Amino acid sequence: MRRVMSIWFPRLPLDRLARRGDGRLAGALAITQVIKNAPRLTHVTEAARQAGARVGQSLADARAICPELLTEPADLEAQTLLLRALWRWSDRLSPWAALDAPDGLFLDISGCAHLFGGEAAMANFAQSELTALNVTTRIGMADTKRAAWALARFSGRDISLALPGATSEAIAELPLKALNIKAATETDLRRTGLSKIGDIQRRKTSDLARRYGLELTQQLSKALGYTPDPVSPEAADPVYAARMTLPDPIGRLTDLTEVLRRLAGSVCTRLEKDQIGARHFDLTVTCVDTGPHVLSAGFARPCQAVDAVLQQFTRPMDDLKIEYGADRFRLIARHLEPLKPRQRILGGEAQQKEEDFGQLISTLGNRLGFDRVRKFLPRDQHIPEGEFTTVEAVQPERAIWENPPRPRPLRLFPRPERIRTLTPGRPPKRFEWRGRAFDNLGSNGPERLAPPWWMAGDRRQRDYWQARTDTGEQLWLMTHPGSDHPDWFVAGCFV
Amino acid sequence: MSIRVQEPGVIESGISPGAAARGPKHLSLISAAELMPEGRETPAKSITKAIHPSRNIPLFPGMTLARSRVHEVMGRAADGFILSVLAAGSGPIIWTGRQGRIASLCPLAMNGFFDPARLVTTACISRKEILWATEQALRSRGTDMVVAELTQGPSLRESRRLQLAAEAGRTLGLILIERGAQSSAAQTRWHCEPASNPNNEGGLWHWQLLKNKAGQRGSWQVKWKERGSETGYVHMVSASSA
Repeated sequence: MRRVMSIWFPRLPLDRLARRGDGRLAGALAITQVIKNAPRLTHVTEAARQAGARVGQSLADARAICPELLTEPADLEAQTLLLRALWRWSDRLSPWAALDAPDGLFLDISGCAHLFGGEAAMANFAQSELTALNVTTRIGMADTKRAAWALARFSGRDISLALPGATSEAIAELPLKALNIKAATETDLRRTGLSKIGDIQRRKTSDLARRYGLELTQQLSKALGYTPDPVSPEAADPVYAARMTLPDPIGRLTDLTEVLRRLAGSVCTRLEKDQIGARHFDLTVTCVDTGPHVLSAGFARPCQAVDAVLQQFTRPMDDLKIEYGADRFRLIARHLEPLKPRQRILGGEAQQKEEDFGQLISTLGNRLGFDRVRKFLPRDQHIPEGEFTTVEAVQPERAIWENPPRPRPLRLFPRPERIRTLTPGRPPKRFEWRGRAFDNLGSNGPERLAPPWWMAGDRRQRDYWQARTDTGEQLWLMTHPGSDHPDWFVAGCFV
Repeated sequence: MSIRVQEPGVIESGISPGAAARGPKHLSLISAAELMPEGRETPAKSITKAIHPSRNIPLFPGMTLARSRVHEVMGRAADGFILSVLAAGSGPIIWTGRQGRIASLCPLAMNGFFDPARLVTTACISRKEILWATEQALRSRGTDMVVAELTQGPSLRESRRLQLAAEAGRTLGLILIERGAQSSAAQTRWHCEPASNPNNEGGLWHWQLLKNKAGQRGSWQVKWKERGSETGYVHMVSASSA
């Protein structure tokens, strides 16, 4: 006989805050989430409930009823993480556990309950353990997944058990909502005087299906076990990490390298098997006296090669100061990306070059910081400094460049440099810049550009001239039009 | 490749037939240049290994730059020289320099010379970092060319390290020196100035080869021609003497 346990965490977001020691839980606090275009309360504390706040209320209503209500927007990601942590915890009850997002778990406990001394004892054990973890629970047990789900949520008791074979009687008194059907169907049924599951169990399913659609009868037969609805367990997220603990501490660089080689070998073999590459590795070295030190190495492209890992860790390991030795090591691969194995082409120099270049970017990035190793990307703006942008060279984008409509200087000063006009003109006929005097022999211009009005900063128009000087240098002169005594700047130098 | 040479007799003297036949990829000369008389009585004995001619970068008719070597460039038109050399290659380029200099680079100006997608810039905060990054980039087989911007040229010791790295990675190194050069192990040293010629619209340069470990010195006036023009890219303009 298959037995299923459903664990419901009715206050999961509030419990998450409680576990972090949030002091607001003592007062009126509600978790809000935008549902149907309005922020609504999804979970409320006891104090808030007494003050009149209800689940499902819109935040505006709740504020009007209970002005002292504090709220916290739902953090679905953190909530999922907590649920996943609880799911991992639940494998002490049964190895066959599945997530029931957003706030529950299903466990197939067939053949597990006797290990805890019976189903009731098992449910009590689970509840007391979870209470110790500061998590509120409701537990239902039945022959089917849906029935256990319904018992956990709608029985009104902390633990409700349906004896084996007695599922149909156990859920008979539960409201129709417990079948997890559409709200419209449920309203229709209620209008006809059917409010409990027991009411529809006595009807012919063909009549129900003709009147209310197949969904109702399907859910009912799932709850009663006529249709199979197994618990599908999920595999744990693989963690690509390896650890090593030594009987005696070590401190020599060659020993450390050997430890890293073995750890990297273990991690990389698994990465390779799963066709995954990591862009970041963390090595935790726990010294006997100073505790853990985390060394990091980044990669320009997903990596699964032991040698590359060793190479990138050479420098951080050089910098590591070990006085009394280290005895525990852990290497973990992060930022995982799929990496398809590639056919080695004999004499494939291009492929080798590409790999070498990626390794160079990693080397430069790990020492200088990946934000300082950059490449250019074109951008669609008219002002000269907006025509391109830079991104980290590790980004996969590949730029396609087109010739600019007008020539641009190679050196484009981020801050145009002011010049001293010696002989005025538009642009100046003779001027001084960086301590040298230039004769303007002729210029192309003006090219009038206006920064976009929606951008912050200096929004004055600019006029640019490409000026040829007597020294042969070509300068890009700039001024802001519309002034009687214009200031002139050098915005860049052409090649 | 058509080269407009005003004084063909003069240019013949310094060109190896192979180089002339193969021709430059991106640079051509607008008019004849005059080679300097030999700088030394005997040609300098190369202390480095022989350079494989096919790995050289054609610069303009009669002039190639050796790959696996480091070359120094100075002067106000050094940027133009560097872009012309980069235009002759096809692989990835690393450009290292101080943060302020790197921040002032505009890729749109490079587009006339080479595809800016080839370029990765490395902003450093000290000379030590620039030299380290340059050495790493030169040593890597993945790069084609490396540009390093230095205020003061590399010393003999520093440039020797760069030279060895360039040999290991078969990479062409270009050192852009802003102020003074020192005695170094570089293969060539170029002094590039913009040529003041009011009739021309720019991109007209005067290139002087101050030092050449494997060959003669000389000086040329060259002009850049837009990519896509039928005659290639850099033209020799006129004879000049240094």
